[in-house]
Amino acid sequence: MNFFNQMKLQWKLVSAFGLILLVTIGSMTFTITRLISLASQVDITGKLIEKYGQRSDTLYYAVQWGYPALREGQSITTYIMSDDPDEQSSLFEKFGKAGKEFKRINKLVKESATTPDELKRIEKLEALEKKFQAEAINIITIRDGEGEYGPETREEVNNFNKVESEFIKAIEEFVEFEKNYMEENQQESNAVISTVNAAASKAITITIFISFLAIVIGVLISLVLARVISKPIHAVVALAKKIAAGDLTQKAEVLSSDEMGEMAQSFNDMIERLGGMVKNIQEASTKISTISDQTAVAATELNSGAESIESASSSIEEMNSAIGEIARGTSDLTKQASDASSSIIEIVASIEDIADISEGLSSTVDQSSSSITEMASSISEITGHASQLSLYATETASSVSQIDATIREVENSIKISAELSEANASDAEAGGETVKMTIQSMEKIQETVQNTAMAIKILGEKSLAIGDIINLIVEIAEEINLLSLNASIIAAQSGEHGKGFAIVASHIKQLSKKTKGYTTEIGGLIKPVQIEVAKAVESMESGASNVEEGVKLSRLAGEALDKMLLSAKSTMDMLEHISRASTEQLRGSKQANESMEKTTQMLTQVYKAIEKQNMGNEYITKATEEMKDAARQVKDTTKKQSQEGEKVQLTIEEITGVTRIIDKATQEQAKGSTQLLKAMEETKSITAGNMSTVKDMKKFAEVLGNQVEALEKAVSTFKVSS
Amino acid sequence: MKIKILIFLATSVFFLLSSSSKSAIAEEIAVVVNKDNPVETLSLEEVKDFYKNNVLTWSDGSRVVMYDLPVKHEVRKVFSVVLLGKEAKEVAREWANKKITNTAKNPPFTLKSEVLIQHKVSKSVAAIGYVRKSKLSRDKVRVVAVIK
Repeated sequence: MNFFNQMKLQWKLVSAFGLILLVTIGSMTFTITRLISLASQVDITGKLIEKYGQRSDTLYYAVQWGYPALREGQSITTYIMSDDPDEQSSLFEKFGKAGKEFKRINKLVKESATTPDELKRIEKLEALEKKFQAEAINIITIRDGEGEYGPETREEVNNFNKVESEFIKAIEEFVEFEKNYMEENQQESNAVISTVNAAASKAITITIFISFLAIVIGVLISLVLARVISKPIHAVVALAKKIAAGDLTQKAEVLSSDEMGEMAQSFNDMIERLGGMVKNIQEASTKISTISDQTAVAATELNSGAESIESASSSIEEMNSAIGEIARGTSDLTKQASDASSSIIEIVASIEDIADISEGLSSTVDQSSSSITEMASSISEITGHASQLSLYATETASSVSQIDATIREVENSIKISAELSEANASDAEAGGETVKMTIQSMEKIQETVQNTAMAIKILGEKSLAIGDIINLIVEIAEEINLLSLNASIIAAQSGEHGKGFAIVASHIKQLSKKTKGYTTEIGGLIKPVQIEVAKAVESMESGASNVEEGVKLSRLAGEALDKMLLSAKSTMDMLEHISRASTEQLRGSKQANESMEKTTQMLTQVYKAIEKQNMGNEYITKATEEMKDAARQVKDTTKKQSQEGEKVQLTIEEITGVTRIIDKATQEQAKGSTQLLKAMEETKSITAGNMSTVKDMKKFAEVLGNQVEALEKAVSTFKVSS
Repeated sequence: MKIKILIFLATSVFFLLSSSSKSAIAEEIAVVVNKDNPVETLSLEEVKDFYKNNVLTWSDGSRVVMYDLPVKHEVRKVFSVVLLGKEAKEVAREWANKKITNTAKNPPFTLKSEVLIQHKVSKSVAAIGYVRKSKLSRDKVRVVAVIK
């Protein structure tokens, strides 16, 4: 510590910084060495991972290895069985490709091998592959030589299969070996990675601890250094304060030989010298005081006239001092005024700020007010639209209800028409039935008429036959008459014997005459019958045709009725459909009506809400306008305030100016008064004439006395060590 | 003493070989093509070029289809030694090697007998084959060269 005190300040600083640097470098070296060891471990891990990656490549390619071998083997087996040159040439391609692929993969496997053991295994596999190829060539040669899948080839196939399976088995074994190795390696690499992780976390904690330690040490060193450097400075400062108060008895303690020690030493020297000076002054002042006292006494005795002048002078002095006080007062005033002015300026500035802010506020209020008015206007537009909408809605509602009503009417009329058509249909059905019955009875009538006509025809024919028969009978009767005539002639010729015969002949003649008479009678009777019959036949025929027509017509009528019935039924169906549709329509229109009513209600609600909103908006508008007014007022008042502040500032500046002027004037006055004093003194000196020397002496003595008094006062504040 | 034995062996082998070839050459071998093939005659060099894949096509650009007899067939042996200058077995091995590496351009196709060769040649315009002259039995083939 002693040695440390003997050091210069700069060396102290240098050594302190050096110490901190040393600590830092030490901690850094430690950390770096830790990191280097960690890096080496990481490097080991990296190499391991690289090796591992290569091994995994080997495994991957080894797995692939088997495929071309298998393909080639299969192709060769197919080849030796084939008799088709085209197939054979396509197989060349296949095993050519497989061979190439095998070579490519073999190269990759060899490249990614890592250990000599592995390489040995791969070389063994290569040898097996060569054997396989040779066997393939061999079997193809034999097959080609035979020109068919002959006995030699068949014999060789077993050999080929053996070689092939041996080769593929070797590949599988290699894959298995690689897999096992990979699994083992996995564990090893996991272990290494975990140790690396542990080392890394350890390094991190150590680094953090060391940095913390370095910071703590640095802080401690700087604290100690600050204390060491500041301690003597504090001592010197305390000493200086005491000296300023006039205590010259104190001494600084010299603690070190650095710049601070030197300063303390020179401080001590200064105090010593000051003390000497003060002592000298004290001594001189006491001496002067006695001298001045003596001189003053002499002077008062010598001149009383000077007293008046003196009194004048003193009054002037008083005046002078008073002026000085005034000047001091005015300068204080000026100071205060300027202080006030500056504070007022600040106030004004803040007021201006407020004014700015209120202006901003006013503008924002304006903006918001304008946006609110816009909103209000848009809302009123909306209100207008809404009222229109509501009007439209009510109109629509009324039209919908009208539609509803018309639909109801339509429904009613449809119901009525449905009923009517139903009645129609039933009538038509009834009519159809009657028509059918009519047709049936008409048909029966037709039948009977036809039957009757036939009977009448037969009757007519028969009556014609009767007429013919009658005619025949008449002819026979005439012939008989002729014969009877002949007989009577013959009887007459035969004489007596013929007499009976003549009688018989006359009887016959009478008989024939009677016959003829009856037959003509019968003929007369039959003829009208025949005529009637003919007429009846005619009328019957016409009747039959009429009946036929009637039947036809009634059939047509029946058909028409059927059609009518069908159409009535379809009409009814349609009407039913219409009725259903119209009921649905009615329901729909009811719903539409209800929804329209709801819509109208909602619209009126909306309208009311909008109106309320409108009112609210008006309130808001009013409020914003009021706010605007208030802002404006604030703005105005702040403006006014600011203006007034400015005015106040101006007046204060003016006042300051005036006080400055007053100050100047008073200073000038003071100067003038001192000049006056001087002039008075000069007058005094002139008027004193011969007494000038004495007066001078007295004056000097007085001045000296005053000065000495002042000096004594000043010196008395100093404490000097004896 | 050893030299004498060697000489004896060499001469005996030579005689064996020459005797076997002589017995085979006892008959002429006819190189045949299809009747519809415009080629009338071929030199032995041309036939050799076909079988060695030096020439792959006929003059019209169609691929030549060559037929061979089995390696153990006497005629094949003679054909191989005389025309191609190599043992049939060796030729077959070469072809197998080329096939395995997919470098065979147009290998010949082996048929079991001379009858089959004639039959195949008679069916294909692009075909060429060889049979003993005494075994020629088809009208549809044309002899274009003779190996003596």
